[in-house]
Amino acid sequence: MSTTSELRLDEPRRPGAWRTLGAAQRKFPILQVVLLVAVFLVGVVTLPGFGGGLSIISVLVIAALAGLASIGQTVTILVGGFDLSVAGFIVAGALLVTQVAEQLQIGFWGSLLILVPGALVLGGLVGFLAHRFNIQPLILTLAMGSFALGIVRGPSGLAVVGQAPEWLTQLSSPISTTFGLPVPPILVIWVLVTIAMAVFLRFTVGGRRLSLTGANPVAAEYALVNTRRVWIIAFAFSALCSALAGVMLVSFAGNVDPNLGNPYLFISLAAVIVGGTTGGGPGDYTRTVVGALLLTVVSTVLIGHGLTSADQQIMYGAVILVAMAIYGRERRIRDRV
Amino acid sequence: MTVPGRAGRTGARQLLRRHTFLLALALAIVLLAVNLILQPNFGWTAQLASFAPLALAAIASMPSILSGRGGIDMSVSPVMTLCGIVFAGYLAPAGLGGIEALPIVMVIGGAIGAINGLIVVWLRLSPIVVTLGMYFIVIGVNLKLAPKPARLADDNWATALAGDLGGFPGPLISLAIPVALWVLLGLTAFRRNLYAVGGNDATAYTAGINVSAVRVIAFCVGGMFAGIAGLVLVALVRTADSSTSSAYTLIAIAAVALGGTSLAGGKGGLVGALLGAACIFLVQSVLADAQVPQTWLPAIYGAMLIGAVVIGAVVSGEQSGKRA
Repeated sequence: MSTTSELRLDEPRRPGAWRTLGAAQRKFPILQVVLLVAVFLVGVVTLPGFGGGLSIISVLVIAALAGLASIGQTVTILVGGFDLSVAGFIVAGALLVTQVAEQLQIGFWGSLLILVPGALVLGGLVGFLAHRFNIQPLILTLAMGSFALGIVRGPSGLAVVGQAPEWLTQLSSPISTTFGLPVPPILVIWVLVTIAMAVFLRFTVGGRRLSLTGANPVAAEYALVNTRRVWIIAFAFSALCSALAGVMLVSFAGNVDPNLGNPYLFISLAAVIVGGTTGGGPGDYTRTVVGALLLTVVSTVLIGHGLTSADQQIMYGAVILVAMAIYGRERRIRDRV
Repeated sequence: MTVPGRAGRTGARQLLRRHTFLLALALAIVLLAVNLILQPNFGWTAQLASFAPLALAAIASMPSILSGRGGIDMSVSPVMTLCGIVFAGYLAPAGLGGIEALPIVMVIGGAIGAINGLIVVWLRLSPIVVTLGMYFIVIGVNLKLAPKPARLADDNWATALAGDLGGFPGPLISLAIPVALWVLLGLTAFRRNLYAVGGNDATAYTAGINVSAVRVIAFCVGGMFAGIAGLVLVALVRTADSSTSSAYTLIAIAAVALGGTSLAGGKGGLVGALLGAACIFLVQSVLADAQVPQTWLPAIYGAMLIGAVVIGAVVSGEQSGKRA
């Protein structure tokens, strides 16, 4: 392999410009932002009312729900795993704060006292088992999501009649305000979470340990990073985020449907992968935010043009494959010999 | 590929590591005994008929898992539903509902499997990502093809697969098809190459095995089995419902893992997958008999899958805490 400077000597300027763009793309998702702006403009031109204030806030609220549901997925993909328990924990969280809180007469905050430790323990268990026994976290999270859903739904029976408290629905209603600001609280929460995640992943010891564990677990062990602890915390955090995303979804939907979480499994995976975060890094949550915005705007515009939920599902599947083909390719076998 | 035993291993663990399905066999025998005690009139044909789709789903998941690199095929369950929808909703009304439907659905399943495999080897993506993408795509296709459940006519030949075929239990025939195919593959170099690739693909590559071809064929064969499974499922329940597209995803993988097949690849096989599926089916049967509410089932399946993979990992001795 020749270095970049050597190549520039005997090649025309064009590849150099591409190379610079490629390097910039690796640092920041430029392509995704350009696409986002382009698709948004297409929407404004082709769909009447799409560029209106309330319409934009509605799209942002949907993107915020997708983005908040993808926090855990981002972290687990950064350490080199996958989280398929998103849907299960979302429904479990949603049911806990509505139906179970009602049945046990413990109120919203009482149910959070069950939700937070419960999600942390179940998620942490996944991280521990996956690391200790070298099991694919994909399988374990698939199982744990099902388990979490079952233990919440089991005692409460088939009938799902959960209703969100009045104040909770204000969180994500597009017409509500936050301390005088004309945006719903969920958007403020999303912005704060995005800043917190960016600071955590980039400027704290914990964030560096997380990146190191994902990039090279063996090297991380030699650098005295307790990779098992990183895995346990990453998966516990992910489960908690999914369960809390479930609470947010209740606030948006108003009631609980057992299929509430299903779309968010592929939305979260697609948002992370489209943003450009790959298994084991590099990547960060800011990329996922861009991915969530891009996917939400694209599907809103396409739904405006008659896209069905079936088409949407096909699109997300294809988008995952295409984005991974760009970012997540593995080494050739002949290079691994 | 077998790993030389380290000193200090007990004889029992050695035996289990060599014959990974023994644990599932013992469990299946115990569960069968419990079932026979709880249900004195254990209708064999009916029980086998409801066992067949799960067993076939597990067999369909097996080849790609054996091929290693975490080759778990997430798309098996949606492909089953797709083949069921195509059979009941499109082939049967078009007059192709006869025995010729079987090769057609096998071709559909095999083609999707082959696409999975080709993407995995050409684009060098992780199999899980590819099959997960395919899982979403196929579920979307199912929703488009059958917005309402497709019904299968009661007089269709396939219903015999879930009943009696001239005094012979039909489900045994549907199970015999993939078993026969697998045995036939055992006569070729493919199956040995598959284990070699699953054990260590770099070593297999240096030994001159066409690793890419082996992987593609593994996914393709799995897809063909998924096609059979889809047809058998429709024969049993008489409808193909797109909303149940992911019904077998979790329990099929659990069955393979419970049957002692290493999810890392290269270890296990068809007998294990069958026994693992038998264990899960018999547990379902016991739960139904004890009248456990439906809403508990996700928790029980989840716990069984976690238990199966952890036990599998402990038995096979993969206890390294460091992930390379």
